[in-house]
Amino acid sequence: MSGAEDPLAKEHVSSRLIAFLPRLRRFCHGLTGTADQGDDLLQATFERALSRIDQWEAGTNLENWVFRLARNLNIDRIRAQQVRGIPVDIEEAHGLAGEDELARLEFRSDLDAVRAALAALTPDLREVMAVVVLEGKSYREAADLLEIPIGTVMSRLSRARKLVEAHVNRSPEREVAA
Amino acid sequence: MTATDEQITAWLDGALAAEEASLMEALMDGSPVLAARAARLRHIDELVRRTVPLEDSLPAELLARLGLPAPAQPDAEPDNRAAVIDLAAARAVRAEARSAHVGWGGRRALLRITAFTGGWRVAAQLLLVLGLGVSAIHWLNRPASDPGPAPVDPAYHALADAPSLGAVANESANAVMLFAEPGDAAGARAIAASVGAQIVGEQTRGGVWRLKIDPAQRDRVLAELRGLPQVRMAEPIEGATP
Repeated sequence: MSGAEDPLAKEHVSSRLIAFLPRLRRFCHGLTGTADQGDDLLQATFERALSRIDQWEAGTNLENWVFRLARNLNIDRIRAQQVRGIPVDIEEAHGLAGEDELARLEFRSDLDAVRAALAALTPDLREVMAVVVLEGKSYREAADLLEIPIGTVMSRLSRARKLVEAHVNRSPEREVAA
Repeated sequence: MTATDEQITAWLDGALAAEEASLMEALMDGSPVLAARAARLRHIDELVRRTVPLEDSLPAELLARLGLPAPAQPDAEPDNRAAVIDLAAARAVRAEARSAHVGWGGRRALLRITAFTGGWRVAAQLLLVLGLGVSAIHWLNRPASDPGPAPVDPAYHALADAPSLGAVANESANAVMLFAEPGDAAGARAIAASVGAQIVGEQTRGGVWRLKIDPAQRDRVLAELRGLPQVRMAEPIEGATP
């Protein structure tokens, strides 16, 4: 049974969606790795959510439903742009070309380095960062949302953090918070 | 015994079972290197959150893209008239814009009205707030030799030309219609049916009806609708599946 069949229910859900937009925007930014693409994804997600509002199941988590819409749209976007390419083991790639590439990079600040890192992360690594680090969801929730095992959440998260850290290490700030 | 980055991150994320977490804390106490590693990873997370911050609200430009009205500016010059702009005022702005020959560049930035915006009044407000008239949208782009079926308030063309009309449209609608006066669903359906169109879904809060029209007949049907005195606007949804 859908959760928004009558107009009042639709309006209520719509209001919740609007109140949720700042978080959705951050999530979309995290998914895409850049603010501009994130805003494009936000717009597409918002419009998709409104057009399919009847499909949301009352009693389920509305935000997670929207997050899934955003994630699916992002996957569609990536496929359309053919930027996914051939799957490559991220550790292997990082250990070879990644280090060489990083050695040539210098960033003005840690935040610049993180920005570049997020843009450079593979989509599956960005997803776990967005869900766990930005949204603060548990590994179980992340696994459900991304439809992957918890162990995969852990390993991807660890890889993502290492890659971000590798970029930050190229920053002139290079402070170690210890 | 030591810990992997994966275990450390799981501990940072509160994903370890109580017993494992206790063990990790004990390891931290005995290993400054491990504690430093955990602090470093926590710092990385903080940098990520600072890079992709959670803002309190969306910028006005983005709200407009989503077809949502910008929130009221508490520091703005108080002008209650801005909240009750009527069509006459909007027309005055449009007339000014027409004389200034506002072109297409400003058109797409305007009026992305959705079911949430409060409809036409918000459309008029957006026009004024953005300082961009839309009167030229219809008149500047209509061939001079084409008088059209009837004089049509050009702003309504802008209303339907909003790129984000996905918020107003749905999967099957490919046009929108607005009446001069509020009407009921039965009347709207009757008018739509009289020209071969079909009402899809319910009226938006802004008073807009969504239409499903045979793509091959859409231009004709919309022209007929525009010619009806009770129809204030009838326009295709750009980007909609015809």
